[in-house]
Amino acid sequence: MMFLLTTVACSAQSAVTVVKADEITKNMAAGKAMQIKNAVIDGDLDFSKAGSAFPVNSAVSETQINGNVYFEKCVFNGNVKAENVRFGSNLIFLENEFQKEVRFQNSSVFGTVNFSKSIFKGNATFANMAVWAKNSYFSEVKASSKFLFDASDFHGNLSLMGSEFADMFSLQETFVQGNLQGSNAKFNGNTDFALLNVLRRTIFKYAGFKSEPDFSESKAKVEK
Amino acid sequence: MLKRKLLAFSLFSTLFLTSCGEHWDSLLECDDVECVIEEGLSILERTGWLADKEDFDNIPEDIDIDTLDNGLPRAKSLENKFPPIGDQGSYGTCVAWATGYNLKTALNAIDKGWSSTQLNSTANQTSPKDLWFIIKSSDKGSNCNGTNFEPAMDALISKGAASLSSVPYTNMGNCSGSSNGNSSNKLGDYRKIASNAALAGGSGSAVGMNVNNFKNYLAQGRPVLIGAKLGDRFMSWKDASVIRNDTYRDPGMQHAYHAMVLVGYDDSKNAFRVRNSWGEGWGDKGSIWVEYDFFLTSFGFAAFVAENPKSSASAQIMEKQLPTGYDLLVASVEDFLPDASSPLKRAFSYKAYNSGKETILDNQKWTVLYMYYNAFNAKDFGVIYKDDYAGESILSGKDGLYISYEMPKITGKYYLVVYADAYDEIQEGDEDNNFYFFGAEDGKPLEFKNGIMMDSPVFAKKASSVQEIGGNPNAYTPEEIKKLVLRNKKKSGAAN
Repeated sequence: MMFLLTTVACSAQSAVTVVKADEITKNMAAGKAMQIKNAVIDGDLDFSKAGSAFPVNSAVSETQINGNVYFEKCVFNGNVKAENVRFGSNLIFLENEFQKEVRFQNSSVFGTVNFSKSIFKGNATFANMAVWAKNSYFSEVKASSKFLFDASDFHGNLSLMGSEFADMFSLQETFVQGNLQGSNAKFNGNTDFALLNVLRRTIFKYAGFKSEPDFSESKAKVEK
Repeated sequence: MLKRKLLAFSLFSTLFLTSCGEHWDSLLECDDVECVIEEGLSILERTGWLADKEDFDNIPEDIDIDTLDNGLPRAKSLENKFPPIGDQGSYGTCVAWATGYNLKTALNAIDKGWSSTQLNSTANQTSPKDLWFIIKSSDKGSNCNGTNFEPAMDALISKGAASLSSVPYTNMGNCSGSSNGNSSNKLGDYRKIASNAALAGGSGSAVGMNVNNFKNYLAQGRPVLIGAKLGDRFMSWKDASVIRNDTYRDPGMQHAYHAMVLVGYDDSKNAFRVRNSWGEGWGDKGSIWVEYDFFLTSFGFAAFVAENPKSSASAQIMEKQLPTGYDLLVASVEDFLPDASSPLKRAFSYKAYNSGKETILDNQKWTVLYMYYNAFNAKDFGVIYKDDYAGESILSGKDGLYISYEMPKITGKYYLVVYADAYDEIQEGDEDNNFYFFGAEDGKPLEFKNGIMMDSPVFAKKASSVQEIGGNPNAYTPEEIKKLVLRNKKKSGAAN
């Protein structure tokens, strides 16, 4: 069953659809896939409440979410969190605006991850994640606060193409099995590429760095 | 090997049953018990702060916790004040390493201006083994399985610890030895400067958990003893980069609390420098950079500063052989309840006089305060009664007259003190005897509920410090009370 919400229109004259974050997690927990466009998502959205939790050991439980997650041109006015969540399908956030913190940590995704053209106003953490997909897209993202991929594993390509990071950006201890594509990206804050491991190509053509990036102890052959 | 594993299982279960018993059932459900034993043991063997048992509420908070310097430097390192990186090996003795070997040695180095050569000498390094031995058995886990900051620092205050050359960190066995310590290497006092509200057993409210608070102490050249929660990445850290997040997926990591020392910060990295005791092979040659935000939100759970014993004002004067001059002192204090049906309406008396050889002239003013202060947060204090004097003329209350007062509706643990020349208007030969403290039996603080004193105050013939009436050796010193009163007077622009 598909839980589908769209606005009537997204023109300036139209009323904006407001969707309560709790309603979203409630519907997802009931097994519904999620596809929302042109809406304001009101309140904190916590994906760990959007499915059944099962223990993986005595200390940790993981929430299993089987359906696709798709948000397009939405504004999230609360925090967006996914800690210890196992996404069984795609995780798509296209052209959204995140007004507070985004925290996908200790989570795994068995599908495409796409946050392209999104705006991040608060800290964004995609740390200790595992993504099993051919491609993960963070292209043309605009981030005004910290943006971290620390210790995440991407079992495919990772694209940062054309993105702009105003504050701290980190790929510390990140593993990319395919290509890391960072061409035209702008890193205007401090960067940390220590222990980065890229198995194929690391491409930073026409990328701008505030200062010379430090790739010490990394296994990435950078192409500029 | 089997025997070792059985022993390991026993040690592991003992600690978990005492400090985190509710998780033990779920651990037993683990399929791979042997794996749990090995993982659990390795974590406990390398850490050793029993965070759940730390009694934060009974550790005095530093009175300077909110006093921030302007213009903090962008970076500060105290690493050259520390001995070489230590290695606690497979024992849960981190508190002894952080408190004794690292902090106490550094305090001595700072006070005595030791060079790196002197810091490399084991004769100048405080022995973590000796400190472990002087901690009461009831305050530590058996078989080297952890302890807390409070008993470790209390032991250093009361007994002091021997040098590493006298008591090397070898032949630890099951850590069941004992020691008389070393009275020439004592700690003066320690103060809580931060605690995380999330930690079970804490007071429920976060104290001092902001970046500038920590930076301020470091900028003043004061190393900070910390209790931290460790995660999976920290355990295997081997890099000079900054740790910004961690995972806690390993079954043992939820209770892996560890003692270390904050030795610096660097704004260009947005990080604190933390010194560990796992040898130089771990982290960045034995230390790690921890991002400010991560430190505050997930890593740091407790922080303390300490100092070496100070010689008293009297001792300093005797050393300098200064003439006595004026000497105001307080004696014969009494506080009582005239009418049991009105428990807030109390009365007290005191005697204050000049015992010095010089006469205080009529144009010389001085003040006596009768005050209460919170035994664990002295910034929570108030003036019950104030007498102003000029010269040596006798005014009301000075000569044993009873003074009625109404106790403010305070709740908690407090000491009372009569303080002569509270605003330091008369320069005296002996500034130490201006105080007359009193508390409950055994020098413990008095318990108040809405202003009602629940204990009977204990008096002594001479009680110029809480310690003299048998109080906690780590109680606030007269110098700290003096600092508070003067600071408050300056702030308010007038007497209370």
